[in-house]
Amino acid sequence: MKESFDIKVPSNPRMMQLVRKTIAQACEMVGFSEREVHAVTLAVDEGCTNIIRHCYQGSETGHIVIRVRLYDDKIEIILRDFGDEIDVEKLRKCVKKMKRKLKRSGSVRPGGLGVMLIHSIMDKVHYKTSQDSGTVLRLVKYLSDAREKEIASNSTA
Amino acid sequence: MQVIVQHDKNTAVISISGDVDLYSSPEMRKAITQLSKKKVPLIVVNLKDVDYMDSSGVATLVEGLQLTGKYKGCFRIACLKPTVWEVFELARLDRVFEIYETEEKALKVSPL
Repeated sequence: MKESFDIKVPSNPRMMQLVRKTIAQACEMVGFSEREVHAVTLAVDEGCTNIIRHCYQGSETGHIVIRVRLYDDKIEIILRDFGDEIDVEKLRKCVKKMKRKLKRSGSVRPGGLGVMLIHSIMDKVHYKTSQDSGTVLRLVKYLSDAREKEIASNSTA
Repeated sequence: MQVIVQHDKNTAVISISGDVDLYSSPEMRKAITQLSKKKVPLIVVNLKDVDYMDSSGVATLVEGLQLTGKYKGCFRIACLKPTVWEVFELARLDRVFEIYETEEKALKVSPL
């Protein structure tokens, strides 16, 4: 790992602009394209938005800790909240359902788009949740060349 | 974010500028809801000055499409920047909405 830093922001939607700017700059440092910078920024924004809406139920008194790890070939972003436990299984089912629905043009509903976007953009998405310590969402995005190598190594493993 | 609404009996244009996210999307939602309550036949949302939109913004537009659909109205989007277009593509909504290159085209084309 080359660099790592943490930021802690209140669970206030107003703070998302600051989070987006920070993540965009971190992505630029790793060497992502403009398009990828925008996509990763969006995924992190969606992760934070879901924390505010679902883990803190819209309350602005909570906190989100964002750990950013910069590597030569990837960026890893860990979002941690201290709010309500989430139902990971329910979330998985929601993503599957959403993907199926989106295949059928015109049958779209507003809910669940954020989670679907996170899964579409990031190469790795992992949730860990518990009643005592909130939820940890780990997001990883590889640089294009590194992603191809990662896919190749996974398929041969 | 700034929301400017111009409308007459038959058409309405909602011009948005700035980032559309969880913080700002309620303002856009308010404008869309008010116009759909009046059953304006054609609503065009001009996103010329929007560089960033997250799922709460997209969900608000989906809601607009559904609200206008209830009274057989027309809901159109105009002037998507590439960054916003990409969000629509990722959410696979580029085929769900009527999207136009310019506000003029969105206002001129007869309802499908």
